[in-house]
Amino acid sequence: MSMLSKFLTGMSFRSTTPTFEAGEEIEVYVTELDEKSGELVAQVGETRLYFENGEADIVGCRVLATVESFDDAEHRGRVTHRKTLSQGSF
Amino acid sequence: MSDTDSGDGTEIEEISGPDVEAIEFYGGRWMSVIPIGLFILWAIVQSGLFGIGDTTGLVAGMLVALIVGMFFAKGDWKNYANTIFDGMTKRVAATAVVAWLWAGMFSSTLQAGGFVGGLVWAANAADVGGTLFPAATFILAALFTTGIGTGYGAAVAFSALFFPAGILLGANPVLLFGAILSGAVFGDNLAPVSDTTIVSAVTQDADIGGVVASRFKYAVIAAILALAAYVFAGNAMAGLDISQQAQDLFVQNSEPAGLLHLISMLVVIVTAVMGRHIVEAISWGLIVAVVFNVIFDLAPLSDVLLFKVPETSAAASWAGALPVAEVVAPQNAGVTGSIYNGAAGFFPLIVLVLLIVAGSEIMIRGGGFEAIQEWLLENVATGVRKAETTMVVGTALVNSMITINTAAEIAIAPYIARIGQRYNINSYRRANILDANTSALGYIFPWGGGVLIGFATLQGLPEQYEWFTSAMIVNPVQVWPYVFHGWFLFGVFLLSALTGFGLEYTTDRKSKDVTRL
Repeated sequence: MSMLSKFLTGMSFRSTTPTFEAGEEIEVYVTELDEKSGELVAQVGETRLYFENGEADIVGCRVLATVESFDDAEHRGRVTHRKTLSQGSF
Repeated sequence: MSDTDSGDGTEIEEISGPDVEAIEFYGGRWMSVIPIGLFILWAIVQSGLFGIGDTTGLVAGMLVALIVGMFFAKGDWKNYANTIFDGMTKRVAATAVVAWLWAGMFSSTLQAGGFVGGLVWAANAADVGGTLFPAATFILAALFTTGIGTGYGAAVAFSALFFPAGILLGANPVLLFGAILSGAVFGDNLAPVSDTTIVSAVTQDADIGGVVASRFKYAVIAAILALAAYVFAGNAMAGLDISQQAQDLFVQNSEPAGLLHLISMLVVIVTAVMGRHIVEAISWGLIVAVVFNVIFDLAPLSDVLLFKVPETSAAASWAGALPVAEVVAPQNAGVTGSIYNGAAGFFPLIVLVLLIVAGSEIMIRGGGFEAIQEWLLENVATGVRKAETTMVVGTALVNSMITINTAAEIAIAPYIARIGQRYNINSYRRANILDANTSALGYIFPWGGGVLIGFATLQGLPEQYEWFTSAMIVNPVQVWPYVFHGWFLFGVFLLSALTGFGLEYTTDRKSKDVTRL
């Protein structure tokens, strides 16, 4: 990232429902264990990404994941947990 | 904890250390809020009610609160005591401590080198009249604070020099004081060496250079609006008519070479934004500042570091010849200089942050933190827009109660982190929301630490200048509507939270690892 872009990044009005592409590698905090489906979920804004794998104790952790599929209309996606990077602050 | 790694990743055990032990409290998990809750109450009474801006007083408050909290813990108190140790040794506290020590040395060295004198010279050279003087003061105070990182320091320096000069030029006193406080807000928010900037970055797992670059857009929008407001109000609000020459005051305190420290300041900002470690960035800035001080005769080496060797010492016969030593009477022995004083100035705040993090750890292990967080997420922060609005208003509210803004920031930081992480709001954005509202509110309300320290300086002016009467002193209750940059910064963030302007998610870009800062 160039020096200038560090200053200019984020100069836009961001949607509450970000979209993702299949195959994309992302870093996210795992938000919760969905009570209904029993799946791990990372909520990015109002978009929900469901994990294909991973244990319950990664809730709150920052993880590396790969997007397997994404539904633009429903703002829902499926991801695979690759690596746990760190716990959340505090 | 079990191994959650899939493949060759890092194991959670390696990241977090040993399992944490929960603490049970009589009366349930909410009672674990007692240490932090009691501290906040102490801070409100001490700073808000009594008007005492003594950080060591807050240290005493936190110590008392930790002792009181212990009596509500069930079972062996060893667990409670160990939690204090665990909290104090958390990386978030250690990182802030290191950054503060470096920032303190740098800012103190810049001040020793006549940075404010350089800005006085610039104001004089620009030859602005009374109507434009508040606007010029805002710009120069903003520059000064961005260099030294402490808005409190700027409030003192500018109230002592620019305020009387502006009065003589015919500027409106209330507007002038508001402009000084606005400049303090700007620098406190943006400077990489600002204590609030450092806290905002380390508590949200973000690097300081990236945080500074990412908050530039909000700061500039608010600053442009504030500058326009000072130009407009400067024309609309009349000043006092005093038949004295401001020129003399300017000339006495003018030091054009002091402006060289703009370079020292830029060295820190540029190297930090380039991604170098903040310790390295500030060290380079410090080296440049010391070299400038010595080469351009801004301050002798003894102003940077001085050993006051007692005449009874065996080294007294030769130590006096050194540029960084002087022989003194035994009762005056010690070490001084900007490196010493700059670092020492942060000692009370360092102890305070260690104790507050310890109190937070007790609240986390006792379940109180979780209880408050659950309530917020279920009732208030129920969507990403509402979550951000809660973060903005929550930070503003805590800062309006605890008037020492760094202490308030440390207290609210865990909630900003947890609520933000729930919606995967980027660490830069979280740090920006936290710091902007901390910086802004700390200089607006009449009981704010920055306002009171500036007011205290104004009260000393009648003793310094014959023409300065007590009627010219601006009361803190008069100035709050005129801290334009503070209000605009708060407004920019409130609008940003409501509209999504500047919102970034963790998936959009990665912050550098917090260990690199």
